[in-house]
Amino acid sequence: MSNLLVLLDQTSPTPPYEQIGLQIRTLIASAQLAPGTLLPSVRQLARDLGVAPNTVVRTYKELEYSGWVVTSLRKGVLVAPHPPILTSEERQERLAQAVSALLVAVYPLDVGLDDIHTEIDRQWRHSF
Amino acid sequence: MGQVHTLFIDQNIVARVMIGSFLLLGLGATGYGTYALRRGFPVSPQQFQKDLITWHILRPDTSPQILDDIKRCQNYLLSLSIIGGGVIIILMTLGWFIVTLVTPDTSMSAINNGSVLIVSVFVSLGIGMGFGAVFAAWRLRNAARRGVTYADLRQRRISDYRSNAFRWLIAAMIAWTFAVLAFFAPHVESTIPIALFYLVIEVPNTLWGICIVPAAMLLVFILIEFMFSRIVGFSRLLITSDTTLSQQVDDMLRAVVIGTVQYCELLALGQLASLPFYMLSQRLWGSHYWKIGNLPYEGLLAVSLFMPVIMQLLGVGLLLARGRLGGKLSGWPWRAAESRQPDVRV
Repeated sequence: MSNLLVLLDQTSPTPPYEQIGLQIRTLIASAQLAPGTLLPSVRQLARDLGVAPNTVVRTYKELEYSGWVVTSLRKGVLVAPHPPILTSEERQERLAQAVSALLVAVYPLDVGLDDIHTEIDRQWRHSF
Repeated sequence: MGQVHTLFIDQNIVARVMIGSFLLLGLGATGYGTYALRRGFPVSPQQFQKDLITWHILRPDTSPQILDDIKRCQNYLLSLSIIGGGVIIILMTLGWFIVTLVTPDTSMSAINNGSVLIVSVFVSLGIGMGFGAVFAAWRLRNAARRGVTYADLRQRRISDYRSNAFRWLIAAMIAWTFAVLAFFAPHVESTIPIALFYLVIEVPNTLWGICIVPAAMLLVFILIEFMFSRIVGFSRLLITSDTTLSQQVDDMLRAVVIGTVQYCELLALGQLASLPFYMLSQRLWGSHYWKIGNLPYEGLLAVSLFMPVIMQLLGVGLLLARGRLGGKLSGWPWRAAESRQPDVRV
């Protein structure tokens, strides 16, 4: 039985919907959430995490908009059958944004480019 | 000639003694729950350790502090659950007591068959324990809300904690009760008695008349299923700082509460399933369908009569299973519990 969890840090400055969305995207990207997997209902996820249902609705809507999940009227929210299809420009733009965010995050850590590469390599091998 | 003394016992007193005994049961449950809340349950460390191993909670690196947290949480939740059951039984028995005060005529035959009183006690106990556990979980969740919370990325269902076979068993009991009533109904008079502990109500021997008891069973089933859905749907508890461990303890506690409520439900339904015997046997003699030495199909009614005993035996098995009722997560007691994959923290 899968034991995937979403954690929410209530004290984090990152908004809850972003924390939840990021974790779900990462789990899908690392193939831990397989295509077609049914995600929990809005009510259950909101209750467990102690957030308003609208927060989870927003997360699911954004994930659906960006193609990570699909909503079925009968079944609920499912992981999309394939990763979001992006144009090469969109992909390049998102990659640039992600790397920018990474660089901002590691700036206070005082680490070198080699350390960043090593960590990326390690996580890449672990996930894919 | 000696004087003949007639021993007369007021039926109201008999009824109130029966109600009083269940009131004592409610008070006892409340007292025991309060004691356990303060002092803890008298569970041996070996049994506690065995439970944790069964649920894959105990690991070589589990610290004594975490074990204390788990025990404290378990005590709090289960003791409030017992207190909840006790309080609801007290309220229910007080309700019955008021009924005895406002009802002038009492039938002794109705009192002799205390099935409905027992059913109300078991249903109250099950619902009270469920509400008590949900209340305790709500208090625990509020206490731990500031900080990290966690959620499953899968939909929790009742079948995670209890096999769907129990639903089929209950459906079979309801169908059996209806079948027995429908089979014998043509052989009795135009009315059938239903003993409601304190009153005997004569209902017409029609389709809706014979549907009353199965409908009552269905109502109990729906009420308890609603309670299960509340228990399953309640938010995850953060019992220790380790979210995976918290999830496993949370699953164990949910399964134990569901197992106990399931026990109450089966006992209540077993009592209701015995009602056809009391409703029909006298009338079958009265209508001469049954005669001395010729009791057609008596085995069918005998099964109904023994249904409470059968359910009691099954219920004892459920209690010994300690929450492992064949759910996808809990498994059966004779199988190793489902082992989870390692947690992935993002």
